[in-house]
Amino acid sequence: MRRLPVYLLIDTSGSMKGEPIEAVNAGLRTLVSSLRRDPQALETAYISIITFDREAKVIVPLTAIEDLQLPEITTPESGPTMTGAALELVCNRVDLEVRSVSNDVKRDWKPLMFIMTDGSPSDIQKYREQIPECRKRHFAAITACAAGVGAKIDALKDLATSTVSLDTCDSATFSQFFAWVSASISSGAQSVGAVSQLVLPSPPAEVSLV
Amino acid sequence: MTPRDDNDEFRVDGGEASAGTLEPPVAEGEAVVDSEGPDTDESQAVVINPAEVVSAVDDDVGRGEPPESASSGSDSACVSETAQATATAAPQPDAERAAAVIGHPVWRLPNCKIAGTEYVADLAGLFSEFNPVEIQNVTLETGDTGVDCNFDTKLKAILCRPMDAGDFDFKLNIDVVKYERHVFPLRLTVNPDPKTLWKNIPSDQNAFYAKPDSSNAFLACGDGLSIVAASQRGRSHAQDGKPRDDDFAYFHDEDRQYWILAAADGAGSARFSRKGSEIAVKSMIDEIRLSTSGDFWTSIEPTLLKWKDDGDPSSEQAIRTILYKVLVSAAFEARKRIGQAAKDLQVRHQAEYGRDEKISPRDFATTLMATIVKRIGNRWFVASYWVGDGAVAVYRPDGTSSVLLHGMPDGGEFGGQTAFLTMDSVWPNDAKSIIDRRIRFDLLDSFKAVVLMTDGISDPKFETDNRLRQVDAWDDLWHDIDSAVCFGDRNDSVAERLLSWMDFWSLGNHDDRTLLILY
Repeated sequence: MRRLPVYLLIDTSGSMKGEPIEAVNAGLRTLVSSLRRDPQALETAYISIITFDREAKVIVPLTAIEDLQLPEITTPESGPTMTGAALELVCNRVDLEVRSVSNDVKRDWKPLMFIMTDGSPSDIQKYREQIPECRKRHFAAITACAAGVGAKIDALKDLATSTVSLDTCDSATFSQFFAWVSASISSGAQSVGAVSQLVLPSPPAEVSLV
Repeated sequence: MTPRDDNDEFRVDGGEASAGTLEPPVAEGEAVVDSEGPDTDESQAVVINPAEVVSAVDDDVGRGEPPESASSGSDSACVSETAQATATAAPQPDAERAAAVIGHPVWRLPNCKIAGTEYVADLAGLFSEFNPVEIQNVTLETGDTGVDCNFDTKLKAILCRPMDAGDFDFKLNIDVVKYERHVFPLRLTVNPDPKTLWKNIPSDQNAFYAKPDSSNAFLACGDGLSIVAASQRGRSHAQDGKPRDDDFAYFHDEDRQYWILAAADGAGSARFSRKGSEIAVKSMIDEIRLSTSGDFWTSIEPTLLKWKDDGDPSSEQAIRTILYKVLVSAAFEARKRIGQAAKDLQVRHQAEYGRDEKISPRDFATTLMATIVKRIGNRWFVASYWVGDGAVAVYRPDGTSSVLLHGMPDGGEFGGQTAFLTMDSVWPNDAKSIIDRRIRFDLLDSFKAVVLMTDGISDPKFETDNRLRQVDAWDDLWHDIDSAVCFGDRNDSVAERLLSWMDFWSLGNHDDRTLLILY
């Protein structure tokens, strides 16, 4: 079976503590339960969650929607945002988990990446180095989400194929964003590889494309 | 979810709790009075700490039963000294005694894959925290979840058959000696059956470039040969009421004993690919018919025989040139017509709606495979052209147990990537490389079937390109289809049954499916 690998990169630095991370947790739960109701996503989408604060961690390795059990994501009190380390980690995970170029196994669909951050990379040099590495992994789409006023949009635009911004980090806005992520994954699960870049559905009003 | 207040006064509601127990069965009236512990041959006896066992009480005490049974304690198994003392001193509901309730974090049960199936969740991990001999009683509360669930004492597992999808919260109470109740909130996620989620929304038959959602055909060609074909819109399109992008066409010349078969798979992401596939197969048939008219076949027959029987290399080269003119030119014409259709549509959009959008052949992207079969004496000349994925094959040629894949599927680094007729890379400026890559031909004594299929069939049935070359995979497929469609009937019902067969279920494989067979 062809899998649609989906990598969700979540900023868990100290500034996300409190309502923002609660909103992320709630948003992820809604995301997963709506994907469970979409037959195409339920059968083909595989989700991985990577968090990054002072270090990048695989919270959920690439897992079928039907087997997925979301952990509660937490944040440290404070500390840097190692976005570059997260990109390095996701590239390693893609190399490890995504099946491509083979006559013996069924090749996966091109992977999708969603990255959400409320700040800017503390490891900016590594971040810059990892952007071309991400390109080499042939993501069908890299969607970056700048959450709140503190998020650096310019750095994200260099990485992403589309960048959106959220004005606030409250649960209503996040839930709109995750609903849109869910719709994007569903449409990714349907698209066939005739286009090199996935065309995402238009985002809701709370999520502005920048 | 039914959040419960985990206070000290815990009451077991017998109506909603399916009580399991780890206690050994004890025959009624059996009393255990010595300090050696209960006289039972079950290894999982409740209490075996001799120091604590002073006399027998009702075995129901640990389950929180009403005090009546506790008062008749002398005729049953034993529990600890404390239990005995309390039960005797205060003939009140067990729950009112100060049993310590110890809460635990949520325990995630493995997801139930599909609602309506038998589900067993092994709780060995959870129970590893306890000394089995200290466990007195285990109860499972399912609250108002409506899920019929039981805790199986022997298996230490939860058994159920959840009928609905969703997230459910249960509570598992483990009573251990010394009046401790451990409460584990359990969470169970039940996935819906994906089969029940798929919708079948008809496509709009009045829409632009409309196409029927399915199609099938049968043609008896005499001489024990027939063509059967079927094409079925995939579930991924049916889910959104989108049209079928696959297409097929065929032609049979009775007098000159030759056949043309063509199938095409429009790219799912190209907005007019349903038209692209239609133009491709029709152009292929039209063009090949034109170029093989008149005395074409009689004129090339000596060349075919010279190549096959004498192994003459210049004849082989001549056949390659002929097939370039017949097959490659037809495919090129198909591409040209698609280009023209794109131009016409752009002009029309401009004229009718004032829309300034660019419409390119890419919007009509399609794969294309075509095979010519010609009777030469008692033999069969088979020649194919193939761009894209799917499969073109001669099944069991010359009576052998083998399969002759008539070309190479175009695959990319990732799934779903393939080549389309409309791509420039399919048309290098060099006839030889096109012939080498896209043309195959053979002169055979016999064959069981010539088969063309789109990837909606080849993906679920073969999975990988290597499997396409293995005859056992083809044998399995052939038997699978034959048992459903009865090829031997050789009438319209074969095509109808082939279409029904195409509705087969394969997880994650819901593309349009087209199959075209000459047998």
